[in-house]
Amino acid sequence: MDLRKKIIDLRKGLFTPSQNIEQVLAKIKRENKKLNIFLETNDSAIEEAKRVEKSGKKGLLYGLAIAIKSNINVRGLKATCASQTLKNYIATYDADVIQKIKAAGGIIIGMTNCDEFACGSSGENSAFGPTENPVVLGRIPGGSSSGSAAAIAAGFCDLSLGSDAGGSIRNPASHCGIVGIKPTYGLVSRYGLIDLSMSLDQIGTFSQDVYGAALLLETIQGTSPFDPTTKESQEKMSYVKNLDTLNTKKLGISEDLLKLCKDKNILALFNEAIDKLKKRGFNIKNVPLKHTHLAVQTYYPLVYTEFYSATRKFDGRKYGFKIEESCGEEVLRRILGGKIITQEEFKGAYYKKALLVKSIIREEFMQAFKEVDAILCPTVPKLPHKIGEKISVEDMYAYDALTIPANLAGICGGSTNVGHVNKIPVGIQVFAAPFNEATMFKVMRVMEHGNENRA
Amino acid sequence: MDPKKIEEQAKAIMDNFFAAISEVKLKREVKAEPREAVREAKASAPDPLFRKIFFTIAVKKDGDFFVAEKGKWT
Repeated sequence: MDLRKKIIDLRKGLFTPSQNIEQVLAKIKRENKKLNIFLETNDSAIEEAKRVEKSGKKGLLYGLAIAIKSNINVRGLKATCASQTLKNYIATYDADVIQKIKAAGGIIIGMTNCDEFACGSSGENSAFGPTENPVVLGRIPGGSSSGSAAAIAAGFCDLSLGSDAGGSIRNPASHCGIVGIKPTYGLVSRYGLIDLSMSLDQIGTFSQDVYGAALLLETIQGTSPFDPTTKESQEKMSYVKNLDTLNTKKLGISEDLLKLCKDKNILALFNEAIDKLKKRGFNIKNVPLKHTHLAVQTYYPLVYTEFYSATRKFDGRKYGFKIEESCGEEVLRRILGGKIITQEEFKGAYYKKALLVKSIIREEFMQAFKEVDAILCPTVPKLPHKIGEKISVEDMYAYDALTIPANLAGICGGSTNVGHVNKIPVGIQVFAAPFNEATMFKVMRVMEHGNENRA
Repeated sequence: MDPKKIEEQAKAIMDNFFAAISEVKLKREVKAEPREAVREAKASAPDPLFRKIFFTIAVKKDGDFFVAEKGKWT
């Protein structure tokens, strides 16, 4: 069912929250084993739906089924991070974003699979088995928010949350043919997110369409006293209102970014989309982003360092098992790598240098946004490989070459489907200046597959 | 799973990445914020210093070189 129609029917009482939740849970029960999307479903979801019905309050997310990535704390459900380390860890509190979803009438239906501790780009690094791509069975759904993306694609929920430090929402959104949003750093509270890299992480949204992703982001945004890196202003932005009124014709592409895309078919789809925009009167300008080819090499020293620091608490005493003794290969790689480069003899050389290049990339984006209101590029540089296919660590890291720049620059970025190559979905990415999600969403609405021929 | 091999691989990856970002020419190195200033920032308050730690250092171009502006953040 179309999301907007469902929302209208729920509000009119033609369809109740508990009916909605019963339907999705029944579908999950039938099909989840094959797809391995959910690690846990919420046994109290139907009860919570009935409570929401009786409350009489109809918030923005009234009666909608929301799936949550397993690295976000939902009280009473396991926050495993898809790892043996935390396999028995039951969250004792709700993350800020969860509190907001519940206050808006949304129903949490379960915890989704992901790459272990968000370390991955394919969905294959979970300690509980890989998630299938529901749109292209046998291929990776992308990662690290593999389950949350696949849950939308499979119709297992209405909306879902993921986290994105280098592309972990946008990458699976592209591979699964759906919409995924990484907000500006500081728009959404990270309180309750088990962090991968605290200077880069953001919680973001997935939906079948731009409207749904905007609706959920509108709900979860906002400053928090528990997260000092959230923006100072209490002002809440509206994203769903005026979604179809884009007041700019100034869009940008970057040849520097396009050079990083290795697949000719993906480039062809992207160029076709750009041609359609030109025919609709948009001015497309090339903007220089000269250091974005170093995004991957800048990102990983920061992530290794910050992840090493973030995982010191998993020493087996308070939270689960000792991480070094219970984790998978990629998690161990990042921990040991982080341990090495933070040693005294390197005096922070790797980290400090990476911070500087991060600054340069951000400055280049800020300069670009003086010329254009949004920048477009493909979401991923190559198509998703088959599950289990052997690829090198560097090739795995390279999946995020086009998404990492937005995290380094702290700007917002979203992916929406632009077409298919041999039935494999391909996403187009829209970047906008910090806290300019409204423009990003409006440009994405224009790009949304099927809208290109609108007058 | 061989932790020693994984560690060696991680170091090799970092060395390659560091070599790549070293192509960015700098005139002088970045100085980190003093530890005392970081400790004094209160976690519960939206302290500007806390926020700025995770954001970026202001840079400016000086010919072919990038220069970090000491004490300035974006």
